[in-house]
Amino acid sequence: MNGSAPLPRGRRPRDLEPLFKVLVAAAIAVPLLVFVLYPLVHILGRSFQTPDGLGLANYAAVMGTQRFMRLVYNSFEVTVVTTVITVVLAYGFAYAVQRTCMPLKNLFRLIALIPLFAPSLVQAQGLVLMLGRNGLVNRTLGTDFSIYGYWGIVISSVLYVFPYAFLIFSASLALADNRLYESSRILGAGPLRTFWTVTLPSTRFALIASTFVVFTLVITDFGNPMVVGGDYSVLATEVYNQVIGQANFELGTVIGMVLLAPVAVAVAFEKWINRRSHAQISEGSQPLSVRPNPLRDRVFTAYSALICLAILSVVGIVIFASFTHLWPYRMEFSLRHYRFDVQGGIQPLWNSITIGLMAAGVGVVAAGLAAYVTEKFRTVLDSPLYFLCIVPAAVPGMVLGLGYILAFNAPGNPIYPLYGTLFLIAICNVYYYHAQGFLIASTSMKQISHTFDEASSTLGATFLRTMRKVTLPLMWPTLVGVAVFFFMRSMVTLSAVIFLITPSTQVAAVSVLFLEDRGAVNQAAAFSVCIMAVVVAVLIVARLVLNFFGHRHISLIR
Amino acid sequence: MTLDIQNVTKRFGELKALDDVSISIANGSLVCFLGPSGCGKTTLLRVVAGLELHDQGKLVLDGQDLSLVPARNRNFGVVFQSYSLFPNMTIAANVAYGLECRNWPRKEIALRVEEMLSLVHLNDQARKYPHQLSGGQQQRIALARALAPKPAVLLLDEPLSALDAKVREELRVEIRMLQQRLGITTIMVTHDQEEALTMADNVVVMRDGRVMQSGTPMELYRRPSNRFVAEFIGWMNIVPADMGLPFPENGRPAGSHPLVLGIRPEDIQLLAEQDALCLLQATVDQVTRLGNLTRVRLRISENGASSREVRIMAEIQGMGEGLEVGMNRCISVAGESVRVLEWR
Ligand SMILES: Nc1ncnc2c1ncn2[C@@H]1O[C@H](COP(=O)(O)OP(=O)(O)OP(=O)(O)O)[C@@H](O)[C@H]1O
Ligand SMILES: [Mg+2]
Repeated sequence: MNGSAPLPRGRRPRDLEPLFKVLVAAAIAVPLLVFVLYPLVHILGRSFQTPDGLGLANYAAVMGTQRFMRLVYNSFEVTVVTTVITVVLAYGFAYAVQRTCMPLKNLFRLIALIPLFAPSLVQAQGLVLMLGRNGLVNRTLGTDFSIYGYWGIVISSVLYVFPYAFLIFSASLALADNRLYESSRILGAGPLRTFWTVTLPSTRFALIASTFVVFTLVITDFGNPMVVGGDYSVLATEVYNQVIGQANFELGTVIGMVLLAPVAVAVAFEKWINRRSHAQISEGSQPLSVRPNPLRDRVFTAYSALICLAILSVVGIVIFASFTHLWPYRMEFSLRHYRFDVQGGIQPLWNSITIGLMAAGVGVVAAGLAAYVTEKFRTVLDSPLYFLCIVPAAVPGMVLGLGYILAFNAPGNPIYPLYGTLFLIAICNVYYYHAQGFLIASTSMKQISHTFDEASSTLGATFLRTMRKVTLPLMWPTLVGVAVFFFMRSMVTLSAVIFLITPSTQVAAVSVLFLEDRGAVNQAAAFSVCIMAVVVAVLIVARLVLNFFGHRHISLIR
Repeated sequence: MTLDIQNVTKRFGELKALDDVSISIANGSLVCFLGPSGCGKTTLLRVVAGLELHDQGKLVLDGQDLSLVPARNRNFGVVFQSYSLFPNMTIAANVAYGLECRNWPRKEIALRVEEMLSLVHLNDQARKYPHQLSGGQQQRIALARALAPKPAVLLLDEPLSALDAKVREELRVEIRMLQQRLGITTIMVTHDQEEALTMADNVVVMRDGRVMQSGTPMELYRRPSNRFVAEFIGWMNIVPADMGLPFPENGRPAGSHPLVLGIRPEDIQLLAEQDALCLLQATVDQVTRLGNLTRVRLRISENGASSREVRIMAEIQGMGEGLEVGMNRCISVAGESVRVLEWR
């Protein structure tokens, strides 16, 4: 029997698939151009716009002042100090989790990640409740101590960025080649020497990466400095004050540009380092076996407990305060702050959830498709598209948000109908966090062997069928992770959305800031608690779903 | 289906992975691409499959130029070294995949899947997932999946190299039987010469992106046309032509004389020192007895004009009683069993 069928003759002429792929790649690039590059170009243009045409007058006006130099100095002072402290503390903590026989590791790990579930200013909130002028300490001890200012910002920022640094170190310290440690031990090196000669060098990429990630997060953060900064102004708060306080967009954009520069440099450097950090573990590597060492284990347990205590107390006091009648005067239990009888009521929380869901949906499609196209299509547009996809990592949230106002709040603009809607806020969040979402998706796509695509196409499948039948079914757990990522960040972010909210599109994290600003600390706390509760609930549900389908290894917390 | 590969060239940047390759594959035959690692076998197979686009040349199937037909429309069945069964689908769904792509009716798909699974003796595994099967079983399913849509040509890229020796042996026989029963034109890539010689109707020996020689296994063994093929397939003694050994005159380019000769070990006769047929005097260097066969390494004492020491391997039937290291022996060989590998 010879069952060979002749070639389908009708389809002989030129294949349209390559053309189609280029078109799809171009189509994917369009929203990135519209929602990332266009606002950036706009904000850049605006910073050069003066009453007498284009020029450097705005820059001159800002940079010439004593105040500006002060702001730059303050920003860098806070950021550098915070970065150093965080990197050291987080390294130690990650070391405790990965390289010692400390008990309750998973609990410690979970506690360290709590700040990721909370609005980004929760640390400042906690500090104010505890150490502010009307804080618990002053109230009970009768002192007149004030946390506002430099140290307030540093402490709250350290707590805010701690989990990001911890995740990077933890991933890096989890990889180790046992053979190196064994040979070091055989050569007679003590633990300290082994640490300096083996452990530290093998985590150097993580050290560099986390330094830049922390630097970027701190210098662009504005929630914590707003709440606990007092008179100590930094660049990020200045952008806010210029734009919202004095409606001075030009100066706001100039300072935004000043903020963009170091962030762009840091991100570019971090990506560059990341590229050459692959394949540290060679084939035949053996996983590290950590042996108990009572003294070391006890020291690291105590250290980790202290860190966890600090994180827990700051978050805990916020939760606690939300249930008191009137902090710190009447400490009896009360649920009255959960009535949300403030202006706008509970609506901001619903708005946040709606935005989070929309961002999750749009984000999964945008980041997932972009990853699919750059990984699988192999068109000439691969490199430019990849670049566009990770550019957002270098853009401070406030700058992107400001760009949105300047670019889209113009009646003639095609995007204008979206202006002032929850949807545009969701879009802003999607593109603000696009780089990370994209990288999560494309890393996992890389792990799906090319031969599946090839097998599928030799069997006669179009790439659409391959995507539907093979790639998507293999990718969905990761895509759930990407969706959760966008949801989580949308719930807690402040900086990207601060300029986009209107009274009807108020979001919960901004409510926290406004209430805090008005001194309504209890209600602010209640809002924070609701945000955390929603995020944690979503994480738990997603975890259960993934575990049910046997995908325990997909991590949801990033 | 006859497949003609005509002057195909493929570059990866500077590297010429395929250099002017021309091969003609007869309907219903099994052809092996054989060669050392990196010689371009996989690249050639991928070009044929449409997974890689060649820079120059033509692929012609039954008179029809395939060059611009994308992989999914070529109707070639491909089996990859790594099985590459879709992990999210059952075995049955994997086999049905190509049929669904061709919009077969459900009923016929079910029948065909049944038929294909029984062809590879795995009917009882239909509901399982790939990771629940052994490597050999997975590769059989991959074969069934590739054959299900009645492909014009079957392409196999080292289908057996990930399997252990025993399974490999079984599958070799099974693939060959299936191929002959279905009469399907097949290309198989391998770097294992035993595999190529036992399975193929024709073998194409490749090196550095070029075809060194193609022919039946017997032709390649008996009449290697160059030194590379001679050494790549089986063992061959390579000796200078000026030692006084006879060689066949046929195929001699005008005005040239032979430079290098090749002689298979089993063609060498070892005689007593004073034999009349003696061509060369040699000393026994090493004797390896393999039971039914004895391998003797000899050192040629006086080898004509060349002053290099020459060693020759001979294989003689039986135990080779009386042969001992240090003995002098006389070498003889029939002129027609000598190959001239280089002329000058
Ligand atoms: N996608 C590619 N890009 C660049 N070079 C390639 C690519 N694919 C193959 N090559 C190169 O082309 C040459 C031939 O490769 P090919 O995979 O065809 O060899 P092979 O004969 O199949 O070897 P093996 O037996 O190791 O599988 C090699 O030098 C290889 O490095
Ligand atoms: Mg190969």
